Amino acid sequence: MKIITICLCILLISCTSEPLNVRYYLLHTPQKKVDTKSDVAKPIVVVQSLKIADYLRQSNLVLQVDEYELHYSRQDVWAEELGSSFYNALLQDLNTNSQRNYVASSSPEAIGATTTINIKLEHFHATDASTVVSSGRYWLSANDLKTAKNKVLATSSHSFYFESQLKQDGYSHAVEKLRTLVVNLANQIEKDIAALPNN
Amino acid sequence: MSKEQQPPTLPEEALVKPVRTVSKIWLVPIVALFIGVWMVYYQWSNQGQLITLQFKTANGLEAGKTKIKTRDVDIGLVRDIELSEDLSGVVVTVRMHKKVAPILHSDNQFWIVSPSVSLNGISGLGTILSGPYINMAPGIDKQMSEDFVALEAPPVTPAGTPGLHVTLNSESEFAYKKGDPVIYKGIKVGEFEDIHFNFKERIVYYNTFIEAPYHKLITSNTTFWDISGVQMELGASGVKVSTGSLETLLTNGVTFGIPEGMPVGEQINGRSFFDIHPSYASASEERFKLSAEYVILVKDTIRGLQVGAPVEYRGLIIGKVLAINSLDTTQEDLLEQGYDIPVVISIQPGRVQQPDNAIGLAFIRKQTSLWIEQGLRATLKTGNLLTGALFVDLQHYPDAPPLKSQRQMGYEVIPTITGEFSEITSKVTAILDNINEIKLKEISENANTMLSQISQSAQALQATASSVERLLNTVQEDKISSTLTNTLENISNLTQDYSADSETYKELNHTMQSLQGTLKELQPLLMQLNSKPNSLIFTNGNGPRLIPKAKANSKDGAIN
Repeated sequence: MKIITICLCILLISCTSEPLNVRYYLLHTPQKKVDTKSDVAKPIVVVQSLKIADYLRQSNLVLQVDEYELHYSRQDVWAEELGSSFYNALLQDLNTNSQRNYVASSSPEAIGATTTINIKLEHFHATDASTVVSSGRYWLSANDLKTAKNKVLATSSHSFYFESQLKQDGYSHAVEKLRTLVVNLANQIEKDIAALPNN
Repeated sequence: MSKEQQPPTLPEEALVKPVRTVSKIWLVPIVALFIGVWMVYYQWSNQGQLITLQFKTANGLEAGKTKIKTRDVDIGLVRDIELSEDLSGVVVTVRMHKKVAPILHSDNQFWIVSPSVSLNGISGLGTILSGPYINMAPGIDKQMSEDFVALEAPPVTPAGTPGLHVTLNSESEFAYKKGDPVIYKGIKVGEFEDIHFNFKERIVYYNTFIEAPYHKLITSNTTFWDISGVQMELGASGVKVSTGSLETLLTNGVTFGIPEGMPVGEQINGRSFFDIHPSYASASEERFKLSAEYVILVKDTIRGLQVGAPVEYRGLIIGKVLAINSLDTTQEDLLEQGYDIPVVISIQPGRVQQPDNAIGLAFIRKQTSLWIEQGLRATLKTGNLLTGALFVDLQHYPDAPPLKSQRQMGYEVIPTITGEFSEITSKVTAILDNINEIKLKEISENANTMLSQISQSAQALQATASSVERLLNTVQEDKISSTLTNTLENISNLTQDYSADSETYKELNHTMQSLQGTLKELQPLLMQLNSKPNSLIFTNGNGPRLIPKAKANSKDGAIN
């Protein structure tokens, strides 16, 4: 009897597995400087929408292992949905040292926006070539506030592609580099907005 | 030999017995004969009289079968049926019962009873199965008879019935038939028994029987009038419809009474003659027997004047028109211009509160002659505007020129003056003259102007009506618009709850995204389970882990 009990215990112990060590990542991190003060003098730019590619619509982090092959990490996942995380990070970067007041589309200030931004994120992942890439397209629309219904004066289409070298292994560093790509995008948008006719 | 020697003895004396000549058996036929004789005698002695009846035809009669009845009791049997000698009828020999002999009066009535259906009723139904029989109504005559002439139809009134026989006559077209009722205040009190047409007088006489005790109602002043069907009278108070009884609705009938205002008179006991008047009104008029006749000479038309039309004196009916243009005038007179049409009228003393006798008549003649001299004139006036019926009106005209009394064709002449028609003609002429003087052209222009004004007013009214209609439509549209706005607001509020920015939408979207993410996370697990079902237990779950590598290590492989 003892032998049977011992055998069962051995069997159960052999079946146990090591718990999966999952890591969570977040793009936008808390910053000390939170620009909650709304400057009335600054023109308001609303980030209307952010559309992300379907293969990015999951919590697993993506690694491009080949030219056409992707790998979803099972242990490294986004703490927040990538879409909203990217959106918040971009909004945060845009408002950093900017001449304009970027607001979300759900913000009450969005009514008086002079410019509208629509973004489509196509790639936002690490590659096995030790890089992180971010590419996509965005549209800038200049609104005429004088008209009653904010008639769109002009719309310009822009594409973006940013790449950054990885200096460390691991997803944590990759996420950090991806975050810098968001900063780059914010800077490019700022420049493009400044070139619009209503600015 | 010895026996021969014996002395002879004397023979014994024969016993003589009387021989019966007639056998007892003969008693039987004798008794039978006596019984037969007795029966024959009994039958002969008890049989009734043999009578003969004369019929027109022997319809339904059979010898030895048809019975004679009175009060539904058999009193005889038909023995023989044979044609009469002159072949004009049938002689039926009937053996009556012995007990009936005392009631074979000479005025007994016999007739054949057979089924009959008429307006007066259905009779003789019992003979449908039993066959016809001869009925006898006993008479009251004291004289007995053995030969009778039978009736063709049942007598309306059996002989000896208490009542009164009266003879009515009628000159009118209405006719009565045997059995028609005589009604008194709705009660049938008698019947028409017989009809006789007097070819000489060309008058129909009706022998009528009034049953007791109603025969006491027949007096010398009684008048009879027709009450057949429905009488309709159109008077000033409306239409009056009257009828006698239900029976007279289907058949004809007469009623009788004493005209209003007349004495009852003496009761009639014997057969009397009465006229049948067309109506009570005409019967009432006939209550006065004497009248004074006059003639009036009419210059105007007499169209609408009829015989019998009333003659009125200041509105009171005092007589009637007797004849129109019936005097013996020659044709030349008729063709002569200005011919006066003679109209004979009568004035009845009884109607002017005078005795209906010679004294009253003489008084009327005398008084009328006096009045004629003082200005009594006759005119024809219209009595009924609808029918145009005329009546003769007698009025006093004091301004009339005095005339001496004239007589024409034996009648005293009452002078006439111009009638109503001439007056109407002159009045109509005057009215037409007035119409001619009316300025019709001016009136026409005024009417045209008025019509145009009315037309303008109508147009203005129409415009106003259209404006009001538009106003009402606007009000209605405003109402609809406000209702629509409220509805749209409600819909907007509803859609806002589900719009992209709403909390509900966000919650829903978030839930869906969570679900989607979970499903995607499960996808590798499911794939792993598909490929290797035991991997859930026998793998450690880590597997090969790929991580991004730094630039320097990338060549070494990405597998950690």
